[in-house]
Amino acid sequence: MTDGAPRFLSSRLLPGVFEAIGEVPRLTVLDAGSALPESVDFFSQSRCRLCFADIFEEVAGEAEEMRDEGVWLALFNRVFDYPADTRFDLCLFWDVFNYLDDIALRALATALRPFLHDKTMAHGFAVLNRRTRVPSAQYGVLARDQISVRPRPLPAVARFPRSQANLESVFPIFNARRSVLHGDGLLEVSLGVS
Amino acid sequence: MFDKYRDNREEQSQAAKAAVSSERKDGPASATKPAAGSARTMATIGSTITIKGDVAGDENLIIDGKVDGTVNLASHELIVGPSGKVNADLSAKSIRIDGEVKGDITGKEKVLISKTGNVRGNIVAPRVTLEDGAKFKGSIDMDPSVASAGETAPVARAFEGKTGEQARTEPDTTLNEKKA
Repeated sequence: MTDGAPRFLSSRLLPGVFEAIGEVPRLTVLDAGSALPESVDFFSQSRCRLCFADIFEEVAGEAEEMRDEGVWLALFNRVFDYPADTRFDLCLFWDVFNYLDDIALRALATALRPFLHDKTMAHGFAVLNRRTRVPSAQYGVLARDQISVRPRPLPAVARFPRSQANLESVFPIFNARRSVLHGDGLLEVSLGVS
Repeated sequence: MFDKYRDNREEQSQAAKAAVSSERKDGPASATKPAAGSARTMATIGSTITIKGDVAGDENLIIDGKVDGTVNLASHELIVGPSGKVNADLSAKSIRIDGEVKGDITGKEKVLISKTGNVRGNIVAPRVTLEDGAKFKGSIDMDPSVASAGETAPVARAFEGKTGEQARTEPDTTLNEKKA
C-alpha cells in the first residue's frame, strides 16, 4: 500500500457475522474506523443507521499520556454520544484492539456496553502474537465477503498488538466466535456478546 | 448535538434571507457548478458573505460563504461550495457538500459528500454517497426504499449484500451518477 488506493482482503468471517444478525427492521452499525465510501455504499443497500466513530483519530496524540481509566471512559462516553435507546446490531472494530492498551480497552468496553443487545455481533483484528507488525490502515466493507484496506494518512500511534486470548480477557463484553489467521499475522475475529 | 451553533438565529433570520436574494438566471459565477444538465436558477451566497440566522427559500442555492444557523430549502437543491463553511442544520431535496459543514443534514432524496467535503454531524437521507477523500464524522440514516415512491420499505437483511464477485461485475448506479 504505497498510495491511497485500496486493496481488498477476502473475509471468511463477515458472511457469518451478517448471517448471525439475520433479519432486522433497521440495521444499526457502529464502525469504529474511518468513514470510507465503500462502507457507506455497501450499507446503503438496506435500511440502516451507520455510526462512524473513528477511535484511532480520537486517541491519536493522547495514547501516551492517558493512563487513567476514568479519563479514557470520559473520552469514549463523548465519542459514543448516541441516544440512550441506540442498540448496535453490528460493531466493526477493525484494528482498534491493537492500538489501545488494556486500561483503554476496558474503558471502551464499559462505554460501549449500554449500546449492545444480546445478539450484537462484532468483527475485528487481533494478531497471532505480539511480534506481529500491525499495519497502519483504514478498513471498510466492500462486500459481504470482502474488506477494503487503505493506508491510514494519520501518523502512527502506540501499538498494543494483542492475541485472541488477551483480547477476550481485557474486553469481556464480547467472546470470540471464530477466527481466521491471515498471511501477514493478522487474526480476523468474529465476536458475539458475552 | 449541534444546537450550540444555532444561538440567536431568530433575530438574525431576516437579514439572512435578504442576503441570499442575489438570484442569477445563468448560474453562479463561482467555481461551484450545479449538477450536470441543470440550467436552472441558482441563488448564491458569495465567498465573502457571512450569515448568522435562518436561511430559507424556494429555489436552489449555492453557499460559498459562511452560514451559522439553519438552511431549509425543502424541495430544492443545496450545494455547499469548496469555500463554504456552514455551522448549521441543513435540509433540502438534494444536498452536495464540497466544503465544510458542522451540523445535521436532511436530504429528501440524496446527500453527496465530495472528495473536498468535510462534514461533522448526522445525515438522514434515502441515499448517501461519499466520494474518495471525503471526510465524515457522525451517523448516517439511510433508507433506499424511500427514494422509490410507493415501494414498501424492505426489512434489512444484512447478509443479502453483494459478494465481492458481484461488486466487481455488477454496474454501480451510484458511481455512474457521480460521473454524470
